[in-house]
Amino acid sequence: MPNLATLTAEGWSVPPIPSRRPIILAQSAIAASVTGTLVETVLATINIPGGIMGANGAIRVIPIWSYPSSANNKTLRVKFGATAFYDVVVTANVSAQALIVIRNRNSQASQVGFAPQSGTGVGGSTSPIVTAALDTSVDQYITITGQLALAGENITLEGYTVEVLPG
Amino acid sequence: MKTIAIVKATGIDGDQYISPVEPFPTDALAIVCDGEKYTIYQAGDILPETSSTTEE
Repeated sequence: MPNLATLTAEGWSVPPIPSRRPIILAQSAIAASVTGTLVETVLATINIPGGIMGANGAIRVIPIWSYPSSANNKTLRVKFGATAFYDVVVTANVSAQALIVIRNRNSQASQVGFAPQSGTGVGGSTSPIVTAALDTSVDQYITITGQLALAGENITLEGYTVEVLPG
Repeated sequence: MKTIAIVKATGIDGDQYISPVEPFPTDALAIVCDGEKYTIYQAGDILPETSSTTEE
């Protein structure tokens, strides 16, 4: 039964609306870089407290990176647990910003997101969605990573915002 | 300037990754991982150059 307003002798009675305001969990503009290794390197870790999302909630991540332009692959990732919800290889440009939305699917243990290899995280894609089965009723982690193909280059995570949209 | 040790771990996908053994300090101004350690630059340190500061 939906939570409807009702007409009473005193006038319309409107039931309270549960708070669904976005929560900024983490925000930083501290440059974090990787160089000198070809191993995927964690540049930021953000705790997602258990239960904060809710069964129909979402996490919104907006990272911004810089890197040198070259023919060599630079791989930028945003992971929820071990699942990459953003996994993009960049080469001949010098910066990237993305919008990654990780949604619970009417369950705290089922997630869906946009095609992780698709550019900025919005728009059309020929690639499929990504899914995961993390239990968000307990603490989980977002990690933002960089991986080089040439050790002499660098990837810098210039900043990020991580929000929870409870639902 | 301080350093934080790394840990090399293997994810469930079998790929290796590097992460710090402890959280980054809240007063960090810049962080650089060279594959051996994380170097944390704080107030008073000369900050490292990155692609963002060297590219036109």
